[in-house]
Amino acid sequence: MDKRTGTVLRLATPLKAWAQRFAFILFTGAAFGLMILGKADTVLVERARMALADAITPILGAISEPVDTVRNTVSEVENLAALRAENAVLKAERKRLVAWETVARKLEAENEALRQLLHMVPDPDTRYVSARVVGDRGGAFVHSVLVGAGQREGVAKGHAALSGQGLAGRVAEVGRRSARVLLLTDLNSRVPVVVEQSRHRGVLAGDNSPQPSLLYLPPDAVVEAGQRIVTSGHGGVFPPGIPVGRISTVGENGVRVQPFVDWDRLEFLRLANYGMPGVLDVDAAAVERRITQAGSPPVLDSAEGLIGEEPAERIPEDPLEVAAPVTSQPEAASAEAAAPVPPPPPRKVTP
Amino acid sequence: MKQTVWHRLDLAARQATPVSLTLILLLLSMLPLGVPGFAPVMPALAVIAVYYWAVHRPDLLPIWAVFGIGLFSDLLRGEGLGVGVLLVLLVYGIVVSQRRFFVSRSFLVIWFGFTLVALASSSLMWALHSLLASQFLDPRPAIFQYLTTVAAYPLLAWFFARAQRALLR
Repeated sequence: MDKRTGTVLRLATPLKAWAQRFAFILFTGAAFGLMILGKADTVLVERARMALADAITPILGAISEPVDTVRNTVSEVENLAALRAENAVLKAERKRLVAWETVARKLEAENEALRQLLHMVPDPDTRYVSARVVGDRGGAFVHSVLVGAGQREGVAKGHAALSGQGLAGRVAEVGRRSARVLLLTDLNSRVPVVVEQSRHRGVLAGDNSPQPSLLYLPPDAVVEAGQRIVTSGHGGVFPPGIPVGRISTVGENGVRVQPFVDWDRLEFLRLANYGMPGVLDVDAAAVERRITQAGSPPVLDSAEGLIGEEPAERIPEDPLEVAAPVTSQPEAASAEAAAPVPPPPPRKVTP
Repeated sequence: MKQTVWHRLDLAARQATPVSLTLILLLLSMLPLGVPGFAPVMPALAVIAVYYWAVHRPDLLPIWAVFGIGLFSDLLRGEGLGVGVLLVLLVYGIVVSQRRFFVSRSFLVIWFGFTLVALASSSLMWALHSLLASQFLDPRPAIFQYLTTVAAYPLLAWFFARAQRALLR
């Protein structure tokens, strides 16, 4: 083998060098072609990507389980030491939470009554699919994870991905048994949010740094570190009120938000189907009809726009587009003006 | 010597070592290890692997295989399609065109060569991602990744060298 290549090399070195150069140029050109293809035909690329993801997910899932076991054993040993103290803290917290539960139940009943008074469109039911994170974040410039659940389990594009602590991202691509979740910190992530206390709207935009920035706040908005950020529900991708993070710094670099999610311990994600008419298969026209029948109810909280009233023809295929502030804001605003339906989170309704 | 089918299969499997090892490594690098802060600065394994095999066994790493490795890594990571392909092609191109520099040098010289090649590939990666996003991205992730990639080279080179000795004589 070696001997033969050696002879061929000596005989045809110039020819071979020329062929090599040609091949190099050819493949480089093909790579540029791929780059353009990736920009232009996202559907095709997505299909290829998810086909590969589907193929490797079972393998990654099988390997990641022992890795998780080792990780859990280590952390359990660590936790053992803190068990006693933690127990005391938890007991105190439980007492506090029981009190909160009473409040929540009271508010829920009150809410229900008020909703009936207003003929409000009921909130769609939420279905959860929990999935193991099988593939880690992409590369230096891409923040996404692969999860081991896909169309088979009822996951669809646009579903919110929640960790125990709060919003982690949204489903960007779906395969048969796997899905890619775009994390909040990714460059392409845009989530309509609202500052919980002041109800100032904004857009949480990822920029590859661990702390995404809060953009498009109203000019008169006063924000300070420590304020909680929750989803606003605009654009019809996520329902309002999912905890997102806390403002960490307010400065020259803009407003930065520290997400609640612990990125280093993303083991499982809950993919939530909120049945939002903005992206999913609920008949938006039917919802609108119900709204008009209800006879344009009064707006409880004008800062709180609504989710579902985008006209049917505006249902976007790509949740990214919905979440993008530039494209969705005007439509959302006009739709709001046309059919204002209050989707207030419980605490806003009560005095 | 008569070559049976098994002989040929065995030989083919051995000769596929560089490519298959690289693909397996790329797959393993996807595993969520849960090491704090590690994921964003994961070393560019494809760059390391292509560099190593292009220096030591270019005969077993044809250019279409390099293309395939880049494509596999792109699809796997969900990064801008074509970026990873261009990076490994760049690495391959540099090494092949500078063959004389790399022939039978010591490990340190080859590692030094790698620091330069990886610098070129990291800069290209940053430029391409900036181009795809049509804005100047913060170069820090690329810098961190460059450092971890250079640091990871000796370990992976050791591993590849073991595999090379065991499977390719």
